[in-house]
Amino acid sequence: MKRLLLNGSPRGRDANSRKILTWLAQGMEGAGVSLPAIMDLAPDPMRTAVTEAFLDADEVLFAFPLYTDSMPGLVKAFLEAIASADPARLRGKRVAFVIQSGFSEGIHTEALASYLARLCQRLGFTDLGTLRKGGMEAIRMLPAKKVAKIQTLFVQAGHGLASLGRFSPELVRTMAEPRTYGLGGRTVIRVATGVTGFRFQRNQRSPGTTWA
Amino acid sequence: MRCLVLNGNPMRSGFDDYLGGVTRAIGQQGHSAECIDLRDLNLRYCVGCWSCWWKTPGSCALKDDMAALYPKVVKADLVLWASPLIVGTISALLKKVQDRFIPILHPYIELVDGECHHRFRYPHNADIGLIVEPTAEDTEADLAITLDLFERFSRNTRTRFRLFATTATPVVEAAREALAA
Repeated sequence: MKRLLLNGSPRGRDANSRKILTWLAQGMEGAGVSLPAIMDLAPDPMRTAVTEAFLDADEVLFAFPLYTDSMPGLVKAFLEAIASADPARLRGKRVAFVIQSGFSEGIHTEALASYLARLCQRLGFTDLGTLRKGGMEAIRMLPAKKVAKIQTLFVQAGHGLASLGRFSPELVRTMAEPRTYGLGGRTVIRVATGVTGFRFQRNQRSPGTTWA
Repeated sequence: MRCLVLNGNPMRSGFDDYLGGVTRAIGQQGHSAECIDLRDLNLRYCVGCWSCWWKTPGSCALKDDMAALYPKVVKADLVLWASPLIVGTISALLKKVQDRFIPILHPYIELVDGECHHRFRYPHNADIGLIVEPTAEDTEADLAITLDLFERFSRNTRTRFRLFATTATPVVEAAREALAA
């Protein structure tokens, strides 16, 4: 089976999505699957090398960040490019998605997950599931122990994808939690945003905003 | 009222004429209205560098035609985002422009209806609307998903979402609905 690991982040090689793909690959390789190198959509999602790699693959694992609670424009441009290909090269392709977001709450990624499920129907893909995980921009500053915990989840998800042939529905559900914060979480956020209020004031007065 | 129509149609078609009609109808009601064909602008993809939040607050690090678009949007009272549906939702061109609107938000977060969202940077924020042209392949489900995605964009940009119309809506009616408070 020809596989493709595709990083849809505009940040390219420096992306959190790329890191997530390496963690998923670790889990898949642990289940005995051999994998190719990760491919980046950035800087040009219309490159023939990328579209052809997608069209040639039997199974694609496609990870990208959430931009304005939807996919980045770069990812949409890529989807438009492959949707115009010969339908025979799309039908039956096994596709799994990973959406990672800065906000922690799953509600931010719900609408996009619905779009991706519908996209699979439209293009005839076999939908292997969409993994949604919030709070991912924080991995750049979290202590190594906390990052390792998140890594373990993705390694498990990768192992499940290789052994079950799709993302575990249970993991898909739990990784997207919380949908919204409960009372405790909201209180913590209110306190934290209050503490950072002084930075907000400084930022408000800073240059670059005068044309309004 | 200052109205701005952002045309995300990647290739000239009858959709441009529809938007031209809406723009004129808004003008005829005594408001200022401008339609911008985004395909004619030199626009790069947001690269997620966060310069607009931390290094040069409010200013994007990418130097392209967005520089002229930011003030127009911030000064507008109503921004109508418009696109034909391509693969079931708005065009990559329009989405690219949505992504570039991070500078008008603050990095700082607050709770809105129990959800975390960024604060708006300026004292004035335009209302927004979405006009789409579905294809024969698009279903009610596609329209509902497109609406959901745009509603999320509206929440993110802290804007009031006042119009969702397809090209099946007569031009005058779309303009009237857009102007209704």
